[in-house]
Amino acid sequence: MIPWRYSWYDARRYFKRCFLLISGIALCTAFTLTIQLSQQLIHRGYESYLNLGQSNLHFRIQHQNLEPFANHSLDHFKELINKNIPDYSFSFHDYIQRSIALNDGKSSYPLQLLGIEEAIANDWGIMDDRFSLKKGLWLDSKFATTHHLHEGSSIFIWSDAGFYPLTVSGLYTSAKRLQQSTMLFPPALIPLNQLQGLFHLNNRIDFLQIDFSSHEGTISLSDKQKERCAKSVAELLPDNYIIDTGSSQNSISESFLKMIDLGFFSLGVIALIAIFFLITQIFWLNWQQRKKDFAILQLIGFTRGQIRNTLLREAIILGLCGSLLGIILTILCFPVSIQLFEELFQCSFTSRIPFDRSTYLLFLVAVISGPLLGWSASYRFTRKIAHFEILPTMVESDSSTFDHVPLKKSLSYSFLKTPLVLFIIFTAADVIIEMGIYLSYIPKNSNTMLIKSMIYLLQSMLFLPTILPRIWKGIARIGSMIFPSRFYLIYQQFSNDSNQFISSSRIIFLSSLLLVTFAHWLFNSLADVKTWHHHAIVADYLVRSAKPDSTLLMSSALPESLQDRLSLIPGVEKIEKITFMPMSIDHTGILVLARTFLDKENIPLDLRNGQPQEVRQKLLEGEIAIASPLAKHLNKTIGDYIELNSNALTRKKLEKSPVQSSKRQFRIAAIVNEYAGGGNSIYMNWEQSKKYLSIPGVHAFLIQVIKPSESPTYSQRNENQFQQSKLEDFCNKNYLTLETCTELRSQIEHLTDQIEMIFWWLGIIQFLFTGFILFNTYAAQLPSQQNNWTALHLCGMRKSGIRSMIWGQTAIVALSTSVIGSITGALIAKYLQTWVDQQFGYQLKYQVYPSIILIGVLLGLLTPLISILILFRNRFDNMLRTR
Amino acid sequence: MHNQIVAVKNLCKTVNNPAGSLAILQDVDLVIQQGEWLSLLGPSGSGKSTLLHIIAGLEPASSGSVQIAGKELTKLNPDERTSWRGKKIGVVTQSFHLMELLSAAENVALPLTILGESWSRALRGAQEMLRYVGLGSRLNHYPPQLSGGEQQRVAIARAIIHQPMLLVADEPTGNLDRGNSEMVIELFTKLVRDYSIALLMVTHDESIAQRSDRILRMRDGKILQSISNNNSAFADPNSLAANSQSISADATKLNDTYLGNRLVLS
Repeated sequence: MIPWRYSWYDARRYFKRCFLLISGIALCTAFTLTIQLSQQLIHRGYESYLNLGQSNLHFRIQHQNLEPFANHSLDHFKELINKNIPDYSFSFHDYIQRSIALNDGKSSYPLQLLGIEEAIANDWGIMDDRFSLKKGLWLDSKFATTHHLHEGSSIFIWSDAGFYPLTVSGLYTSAKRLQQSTMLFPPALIPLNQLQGLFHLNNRIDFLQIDFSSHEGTISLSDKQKERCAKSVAELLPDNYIIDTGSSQNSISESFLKMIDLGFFSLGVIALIAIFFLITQIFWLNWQQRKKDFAILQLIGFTRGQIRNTLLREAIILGLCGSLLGIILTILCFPVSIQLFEELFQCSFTSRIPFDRSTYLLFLVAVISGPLLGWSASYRFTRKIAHFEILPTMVESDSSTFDHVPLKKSLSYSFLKTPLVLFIIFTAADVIIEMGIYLSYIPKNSNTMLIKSMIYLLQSMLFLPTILPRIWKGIARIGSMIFPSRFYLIYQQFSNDSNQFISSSRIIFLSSLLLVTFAHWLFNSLADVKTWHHHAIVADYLVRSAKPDSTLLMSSALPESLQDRLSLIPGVEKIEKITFMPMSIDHTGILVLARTFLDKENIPLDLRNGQPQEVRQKLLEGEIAIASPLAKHLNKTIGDYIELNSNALTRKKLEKSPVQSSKRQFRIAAIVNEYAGGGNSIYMNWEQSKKYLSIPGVHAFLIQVIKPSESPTYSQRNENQFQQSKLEDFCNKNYLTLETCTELRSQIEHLTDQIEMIFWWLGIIQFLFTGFILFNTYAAQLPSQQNNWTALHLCGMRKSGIRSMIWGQTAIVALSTSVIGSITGALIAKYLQTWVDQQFGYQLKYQVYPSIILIGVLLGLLTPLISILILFRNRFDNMLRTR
Repeated sequence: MHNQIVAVKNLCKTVNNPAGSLAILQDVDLVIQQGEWLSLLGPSGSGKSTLLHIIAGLEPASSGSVQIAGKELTKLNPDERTSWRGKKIGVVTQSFHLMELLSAAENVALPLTILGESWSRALRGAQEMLRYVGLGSRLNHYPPQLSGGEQQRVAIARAIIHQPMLLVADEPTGNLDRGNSEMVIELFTKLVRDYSIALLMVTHDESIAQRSDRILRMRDGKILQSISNNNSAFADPNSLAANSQSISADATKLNDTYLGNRLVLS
């Protein structure tokens, strides 16, 4: 084995390269770790919020349609369970959970109010310490501190049953696991009988929580034991009652969690691909710079195996250093990224890394993957030592004798491995697919689009080494008509060192491609969101109990009777109502948006097809409009029927006339583009919903005001002279939240602007990193051209002339590559978007942004030129002198 | 009787190129004895460096036999050839090929580590060897801090530190001035004398070749002539019989005298 000292000296002398390697791996590790940790933190935060009141040793029994328990059946359950499952000890807690809006006189917050028995509160998983709930309303101490509330503070709550003044009786400290959740609004606690009295819910119980343990009082039971226990209880339950073992409270939130997971997973995969590419590129630099060293080592008797092992050993150590540094960076920088998330999504996380088993496992994986990535990237190049005799090409004496070596190498390539042949095969495949689609032999579905985008990517990757050098030479030929000597020399350079130019062009290509692809996907998505909210949000003001929180939990509904009071306010022209109801179709959680459609001319929906008036009429008759992703998921279209399972039937109706069957079929009148509820949503007429589904009040009143003159545009309407102050007064007096649609729109636009800004920052960082790699690539490549430059200089060419030649060749490579990369990026984005649309049911209007393509080309051109400029600033003279 | 260190028989080297196959070496036979200094002379492209590289195990032969210290190199794979080189052969090149990031002593110590010596022992051995080649005051200097002659002496020290049986030198004075060349040649002479190393040297310099025990002249991949130094202990009776004149005979005349490519040299 080559002594360690050699590796150490090499690292010391070529510190920059080692720094590049270590910092590259560290940055990539930190980036991936941050993504994974953020995903973990967000997932856990939301999950613990959604599973509020649930813990491993609890489960909840409820009616499948949320009907209240009849007293006799409740006692019957308890007796039945105690009698028939002797292996465990059970304790039972009755409770009610309600969405309320809490107003402290300044702002409104959506809250979950838990009406619980006088039971020990830590049984509910909300607290770590034992806590007996006393009379009155209890708030989380952290929440109370944030909102300047204390014992004795007067507050007001809105619920769908009405409006109540209350006093804060006490504060509780929430469980540690909940403190680490994304909870902005932790639950408020109130004794069950007090809540029943307050909301006029005489003896009503909605849920039964069962705590269980072994007879020995064992707290921790295995998953299998818990599952067995839950199964035994489930077998005893009468019809229509279900057991909830702690999964999330509604499947819309579940799908939201899935979206978060998918998003982070995709980011992680992209990061991993980029990491592997970057690390491979850096190791390629390492290989290039040290080829001569390897030849010398072979000369004095070190075998290729020994050299290979040394390189792999170095790669493992550098990888290890990089991943350790990456972990340190993550620990230091993670709080900053979490803060960014908080700013962006207006939510609250803990700034600490969740140090638990899975985090340690993640760190362990990072520690292993750094050396593994380094090893695998290095192995790719060290294999060359094993396959080709590098020495003859390196021993400089009488090298003409060894001209055959590259030829031998090229002959050893098998025919099918030749990039040109592969390029032709992929191009042929592309043409066949296009023809197949044209002649309708091949369906134009999502899989075809995905295959096409992959073919484009492979084609373009193969295009680089096969066609691009020919284009460069062509450009140089044309250029030689104007500047014969310089462009002829550039032509020669392209002919002799095409491999070197291809390696730098790969970096430029990938950078331009990634930027343009991602930008097109993002900007088209954002454009669609903008179109959607311009269609969907058409009113001047919104009156709500509170702004809904970011976890998709609704704020409390308001009584319908409030509309009459609102209509008495001078200047109010029209009031529309909207209510959000979580429901299900074939076990798929959906969001029903029940709203009024008062405007006879326009419909506030982003319709995919159909006439607005026709659709409106159908909706008024009881048909529904379905969001395109849901229609895709259910495989339904206009004219089909869907069956709604109304698991959100209101207690009012149930109390009066309990519904035996809560399923009802509705005909689809239209398909709309819709983002609410993650695309799993349907629109219904409010009155029809009230008739068939029993609406739990109104979540928002959409108010349109009288205009002094007819103003056709939305923004102009907002600028009218309506007495906003009167509406504000009304809301303030009644502790309601008033929002203007301009505010709502600006919030959405602010969010999209922030996303765009983050994207551009990421783009700049990407190109800085690209520049860094290019700088080092050139630093490794250019010395091989030094002989030529020196010769030219000796022949009388000025330094500026040589410089312009180098600029010329760099510009040719960069421009051609970035143009191809940007165009390919736009094409790939189109096909990927078509694939995503078809996969998830969206129908985005794909638009090519020439400005983004131009930016991709410009950045692709400028980055290498700036790298060269920096490289030459200090070194060019030395480069000529040293030879 | 001297031991045979190098025994080459019917050695051919052919390469393929777009214009057809090109014979670089054709049926070359050669023997080098222990302690013998053999010089290869010939114009560029005559195949002398290829022959040297094949003997040093740097390049495979197309056909024929190459035995170095009793080992048949043609039957070895590249790694085995490299290992054998690390044990039995020292290589000196025109461009020195020193590792710039290692000091003179560290450069020289490297081959010993291949043989399993510890780094500290290898360094001690290297220091002794550098003193032997007259660079005792330059132990910790790095290659760029040394003159061409000094760098070449470091390269020679590195080539002989592991006491090889054969030292191959490819134009070792090609990059040196006259004074440094003389110093290097003196060193080679001393080495051959002190260590009984067989030395195979490619050179274009007639005056240097004259100081060797034998001279082989090559052209177009064939050995044209073998000339032994009269004073040498390795005089080849056959070649001496064919060439009784002194080794200072006119090179151009010698090139015209084709003696056949299957010349038995010892």
